[in-house]
Amino acid sequence: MLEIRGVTKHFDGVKAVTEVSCTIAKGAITGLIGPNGAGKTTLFNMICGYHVPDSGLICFNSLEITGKPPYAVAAAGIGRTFQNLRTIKKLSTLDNVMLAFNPGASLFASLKKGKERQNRERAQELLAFVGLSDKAEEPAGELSYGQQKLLNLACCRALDPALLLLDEPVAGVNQEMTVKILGLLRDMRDEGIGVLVIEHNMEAVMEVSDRLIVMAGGRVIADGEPAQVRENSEVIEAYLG
Amino acid sequence: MEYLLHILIMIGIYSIVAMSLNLPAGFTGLISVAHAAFYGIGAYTTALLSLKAGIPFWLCLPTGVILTAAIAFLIAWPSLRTRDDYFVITTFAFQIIVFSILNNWVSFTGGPMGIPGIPQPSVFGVPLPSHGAFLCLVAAIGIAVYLFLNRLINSPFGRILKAIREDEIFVQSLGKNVTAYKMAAFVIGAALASIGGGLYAVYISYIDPTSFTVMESIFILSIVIIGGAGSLKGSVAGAAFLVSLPEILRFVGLPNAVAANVRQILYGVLLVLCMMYRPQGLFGEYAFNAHPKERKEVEDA
Repeated sequence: MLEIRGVTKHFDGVKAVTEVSCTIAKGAITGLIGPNGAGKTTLFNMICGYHVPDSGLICFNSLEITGKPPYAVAAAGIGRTFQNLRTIKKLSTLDNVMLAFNPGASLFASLKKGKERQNRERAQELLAFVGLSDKAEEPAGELSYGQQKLLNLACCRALDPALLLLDEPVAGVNQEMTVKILGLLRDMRDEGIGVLVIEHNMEAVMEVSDRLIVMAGGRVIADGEPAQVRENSEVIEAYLG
Repeated sequence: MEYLLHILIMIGIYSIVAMSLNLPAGFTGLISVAHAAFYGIGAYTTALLSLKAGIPFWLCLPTGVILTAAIAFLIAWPSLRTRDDYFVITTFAFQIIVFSILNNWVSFTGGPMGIPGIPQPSVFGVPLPSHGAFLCLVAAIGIAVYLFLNRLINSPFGRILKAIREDEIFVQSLGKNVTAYKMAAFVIGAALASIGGGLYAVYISYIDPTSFTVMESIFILSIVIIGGAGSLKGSVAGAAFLVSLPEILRFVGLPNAVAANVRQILYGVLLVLCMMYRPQGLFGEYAFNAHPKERKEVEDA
């Protein structure tokens, strides 16, 4: 579904990502791991249009999206979350979700109030999905850290994405919340959404991923089933060395 | 009585102009110091059309709105490629350009001499007889502007503007073309300011470039900040407060020459105090801040 071919990005001579190629399937959870500075987030940012690759090609459902602006990529059906929390703290939790409706729609469509009730119901459903129904009217800034992570998931889902890119969805949340978030990822996979997850929590990522891609020094060094990857000598070296 | 009506009319005009700036500056976070330029374009359009072409007032206003919107669109195109401080500077540059044109294109704008003898407005061919009638006109237009903006900021469109003020990157990730939204907020704000300009021109019946300087832009921005960024009621309250303040000084008995200077000092002190102790202004819920810390660039790991 998502095809990345020979993508390279350098920042002032620093090779962040070099010649990365891989494909991400729908209806599967793919883990993207690697030591700090491996280029994982840079790869995410290139897929989503926040960085333009120096070379290479990114195709989504056989449509080229290389260098398209972030809003166009999102409207095409790729949702993402960020490493740090990004919510609109002064808007209510429900309003945060509602921001994501009608991606790519014209300004005039956004002015219409007609669809508002329908969208409100859909937003309630999405909040129920992540278990935040009782927080709908509270400002997003008042939610706990873990709850804001859940809200980010609900916002992404409101885009009705075919592919979700999640940057450390369980970093810094407690065990109970981790279990909950991993459960949501599985639910979304079972609905046919492709999920690509960057995660440093090895236990979590090993458990949830159907497939693992390992990056180090801007390159993909391993790609396969978690059990296989765990045995790969290059991977062990990258993590220990 | 006439004096009181005069103050109320000025409060009405400044309320319209401040509310129009609140849309881009208060709700969207686009701090512009070019608002007096748009206000001025509205004033000059009405003045020139009614004086030189004899076009009735009620046709001058919409013409000014369309013209100002078109100019604002052209300005927004390059300006919105920059952000935060750089955006302020590009709007500052535009403000200077407009003032220079008004001041130097003597054959068209009258230059520093201004345009005297702007005809009084009339409604359905009946001239407005008094200050009282004109106040009703200003109030009616002010209420219309308030209702329009209120509707706008409470719509899905307004929700996106408020979100842009807090975190552009997040809004982009939800499939929204942030630049297009900012453009719309800026152009609508400018177009509404021109209505205030048109009212000012026919009310005073004489305009000159000194009414539309960068100081005036800052005064309008002060109304928005002190009233409360992101609050329409705040803009009306701010206008009432800052417009009537120098009038109160008049009653204290200061000589005119001194009062004018004290006024400037007072505005400055008020602005500083407001920033220090009540950054959200009288009615605002948001602290006025060009750099909310949420606006960091996408991080790299």
